[in-house]
Amino acid sequence: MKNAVEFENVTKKFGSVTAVNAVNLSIEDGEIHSIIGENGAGKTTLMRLLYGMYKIDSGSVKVFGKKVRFSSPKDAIANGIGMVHQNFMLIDSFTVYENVVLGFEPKRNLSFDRKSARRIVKELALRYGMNVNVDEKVERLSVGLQQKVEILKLLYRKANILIFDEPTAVLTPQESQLLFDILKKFKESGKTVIFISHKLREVKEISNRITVMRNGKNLGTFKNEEISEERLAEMVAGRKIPKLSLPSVDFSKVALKVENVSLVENGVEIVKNVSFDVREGEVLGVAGVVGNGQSELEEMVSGMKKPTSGKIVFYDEDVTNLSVRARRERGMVYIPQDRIKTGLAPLASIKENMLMGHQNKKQFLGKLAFLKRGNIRSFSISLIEDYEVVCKSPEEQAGTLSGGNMQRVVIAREFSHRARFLLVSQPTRGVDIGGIEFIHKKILKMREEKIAILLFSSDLDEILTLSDRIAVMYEGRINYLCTREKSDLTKIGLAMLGMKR
Amino acid sequence: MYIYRSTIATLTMIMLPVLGGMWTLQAGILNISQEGAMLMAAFFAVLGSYIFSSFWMGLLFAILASLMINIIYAFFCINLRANIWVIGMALNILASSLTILLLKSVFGVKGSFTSSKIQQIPSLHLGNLGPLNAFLNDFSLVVWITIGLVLFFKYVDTHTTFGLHLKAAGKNWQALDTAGISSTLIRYESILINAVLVGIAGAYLSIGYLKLFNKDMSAGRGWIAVAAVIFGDGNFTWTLIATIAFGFMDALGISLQSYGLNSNLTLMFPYLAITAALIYQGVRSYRLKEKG
Amino acid sequence: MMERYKGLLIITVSFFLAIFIGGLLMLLYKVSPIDGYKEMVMGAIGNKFVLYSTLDRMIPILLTGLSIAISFHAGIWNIGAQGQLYLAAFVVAAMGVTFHGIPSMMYIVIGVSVGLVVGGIWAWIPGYLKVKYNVNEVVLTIMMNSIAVYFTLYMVNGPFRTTQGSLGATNIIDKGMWFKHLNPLSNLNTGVYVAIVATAVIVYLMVFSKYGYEWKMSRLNQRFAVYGGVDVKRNLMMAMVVSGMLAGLAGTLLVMGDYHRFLNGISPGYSWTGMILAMMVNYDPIGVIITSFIYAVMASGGLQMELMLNIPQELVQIIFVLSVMFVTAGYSVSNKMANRIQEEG
Repeated sequence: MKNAVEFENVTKKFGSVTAVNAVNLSIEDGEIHSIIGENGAGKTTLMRLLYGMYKIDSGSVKVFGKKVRFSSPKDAIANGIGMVHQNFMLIDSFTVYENVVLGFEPKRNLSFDRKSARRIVKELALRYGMNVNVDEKVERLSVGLQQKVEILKLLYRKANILIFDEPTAVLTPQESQLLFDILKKFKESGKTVIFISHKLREVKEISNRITVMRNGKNLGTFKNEEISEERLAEMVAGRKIPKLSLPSVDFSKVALKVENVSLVENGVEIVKNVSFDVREGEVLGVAGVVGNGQSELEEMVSGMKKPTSGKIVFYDEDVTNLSVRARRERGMVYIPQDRIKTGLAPLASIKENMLMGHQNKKQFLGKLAFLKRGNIRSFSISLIEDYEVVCKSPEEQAGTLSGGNMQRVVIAREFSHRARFLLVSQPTRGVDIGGIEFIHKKILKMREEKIAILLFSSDLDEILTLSDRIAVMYEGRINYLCTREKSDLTKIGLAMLGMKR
Repeated sequence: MYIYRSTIATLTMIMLPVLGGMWTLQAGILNISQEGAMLMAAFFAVLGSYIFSSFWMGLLFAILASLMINIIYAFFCINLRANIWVIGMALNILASSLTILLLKSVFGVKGSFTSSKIQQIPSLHLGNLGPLNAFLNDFSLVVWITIGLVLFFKYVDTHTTFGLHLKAAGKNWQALDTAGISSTLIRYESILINAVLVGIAGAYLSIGYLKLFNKDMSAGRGWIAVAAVIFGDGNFTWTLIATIAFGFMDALGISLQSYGLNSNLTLMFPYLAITAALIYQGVRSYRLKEKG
Repeated sequence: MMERYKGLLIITVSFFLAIFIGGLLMLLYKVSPIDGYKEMVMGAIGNKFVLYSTLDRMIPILLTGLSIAISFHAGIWNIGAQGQLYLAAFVVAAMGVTFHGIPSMMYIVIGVSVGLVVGGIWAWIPGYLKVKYNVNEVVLTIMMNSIAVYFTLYMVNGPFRTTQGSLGATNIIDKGMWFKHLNPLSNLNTGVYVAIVATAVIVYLMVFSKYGYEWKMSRLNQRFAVYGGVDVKRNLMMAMVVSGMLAGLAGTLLVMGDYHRFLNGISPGYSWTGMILAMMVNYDPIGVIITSFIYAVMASGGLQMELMLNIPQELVQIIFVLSVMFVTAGYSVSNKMANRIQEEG
């Protein structure tokens, strides 16, 4: 069979880090080829090299047997390569059709021919059965639809080699299924699909062949039917992964009570009359498709947003209108969903990041608001040791750490408070497998210490692993709340799409 | 009538850097160096016009001077991703010092230079238009160029792919880059356009209706343009409205002087207007948000 | 620690590069760079009197530099130091020509306090509008600069016009309000002690106190600061007002110490120079102290250079701008490596 893409000894370095290390890999024409590996394994970098976003340090790439050297995505597009990025490359304030044709606009004389652009995009959407209004601004579309706009872009540019970088990370199981159907359609029509993921189940489901990457190296390419899920998991992580267990606890005492909470922003009711409670020693997991009010609920519980109506009660005290600082003083600890935007100041040092929230404690604050520098330093050093943060010194910029290590900084800081309640969101997003295990263990240790835990996660496996009870949010409401024993992926997935059992 | 004509003159001077600045802002760069580029252009317009006794050479020199400032600004902001304030203010100081230094070194004068050898940019006399005489006749060539440019740019803004790419570069440059179009290139193009426009504005300042260079003669006009650009936030219509309003206030202030108001008081007008407009805008959007 | 040394190295190298190019420019005027720089340094610190003048020139730049440093450090962009300086200077002078017979010690205290309050209020207004209504404080403060400058110009050409000769100034203020000159040949005056105290307070606030930490975190990531329980709005207001007070103090000292009157052009761009210096050293107050001294040496030495060697003193500004550019470029290039790694998810 002919090869669509061949990497030969490809290497790419960023500073002192080797992101892709002498990789050899062939992608056959017309196959669905998955590349699997942890975060930071080099999958995305390899694909960006193919797409001309980065330049190759050494080695070569062949596309359909022809040696190529791309200096920008333009060259890649001209060679029939298209890529759907993990963070969508869309312009929110533009309409769907403007986004699709961007860079390859139909012209009449010297003007931009909007009429033809609309027509062509509309026809294209129809042909592939995608139900998108081409005149809608992209910012008003759901994440699933935005992804379809990305796919339309590739089709519009007549790409034959389609790269999908972690496309299912933002989708519900059902939406993922629809995406897989589209990918299979592409394969049938003779296109080559490169699928990047770290989810074993998905990779096993749709691939013809699977390549495992770790630390920038290709560990081998296998035919799907020749390798088991367990063996793949071991190769990805580099060792065996033990299963976690939840010892049973007595859940009688209520720690946090949310009563009829609603939030209206810009005239839109984002959270609608939500009520639930979290008990001591219990993990309540909240799932849902991005944009159904979970982030807002999270921020209201943390105090970063005030609800329009309703009440939040913490150990019989109404904390609805208390400031973040007052909540922290009462032992409410918070690991936010976005560590780069909220949980850290990436440009500040690790030490400064670890001090946040602790700066008013006697241990660090002297007379006349002088900071006790020595104490701060030794505090940060001990946290770095306890939480195994890999770094050069406490003065290193937090933003230069890997995703997993950044998250360890956040967790170390928050867990070093005397906590009575833990609000934790997306604790392992972008964290390597070793880190995930470490973080899950720490959360479950808090659970054993009888701390109430409210967990938000878009990773359903994580929800199912850690939670005692599971809630699902849909369009601002909780439309599913059940114990873990009675829940499964299908039920949760349906609830995420707004269907009740 | 006097107000009308002086409004047009002031407006022209602000409109050119506003148009240019709006492009660069759409492409994602707020241009802080307008004041300096305008001043440099004003000086070099005098120099070119003086050496060759030709306003065309004056214009050419002005544009080249403006280009120099703009390209340095672009290189620092785009390629080096430097802080726009540091480099913008540094360039403004550079322009102010360099023009004074050149006045001393080239013309041997302090503060200001004028000469009969300088050729002014001509005004256009369209023949006798009857009642329209006062409205249309004897405006500087630059005024007509500016009006043409406003119309042309309005077209470019909505009807061309260049307009689309500019906005894309400002809103999400990665999206544009991955579509195979270099956002860096687009940004440079917007800066180059800006350089030409500011160059013309600078020439208009010194050899438009005068034959004179004064030290620091741009007198904050570049800043008014920057304010109008920030106020309009890349939106063509709003930017135009802001510019016209500020230009009118400026001219009104100047003409009120003839009624005995202190000139320093009336010079405050455009700034007061901008401040009031900003506060109104802010409070209004706050109220809207409060209402939900 | 590494960060600090890297910054220092970049600034030093850039400075010497700019000095080198400045030397080449001197050759255009047929002056040996060694003579030129010798004249510059001698003219600035060669004897006690010129050193006093240099220090006197340093004060307004130092204070406006710190003013900018503190607000930028907190992430609120006060570009309005010029206006705050002018307004405070004018109000203090207006007071000084209006009221007489107040005991000197008391009058000085009142004068300085009024200057601080006026500068603080002129900064409080845009600060409040920013924090409460999210009005763009950059444009607002730039506009308020012009309003303040034209207002004071109007006052000194109108109601407060001098009756003692030269135009564009107020009368001489009451003697009770004067900071005494330390020697007759330079303008350096006892106001320098006030400046030293103010500098010490700022260094404490920015480097050693909890506020400095919270300000820095608010600038680097405001959401993060809110998340950590910092009252960001109150902190921003505080930084803004302190920033305005410093600029006001700069104006007050110019009136009460140097000129003993308000005159238009009392600050020929001190605040812009201060702003660039503050940004060049990444808002480090110690850095502002050092660079404003070097700048003052160059500026007063430049004057001497023009007198003795006929090189325009504006050459100094050009050397200054060049060093700013080199520093900026140096930072960008050295950061590029680190940032590149971050881009990888």
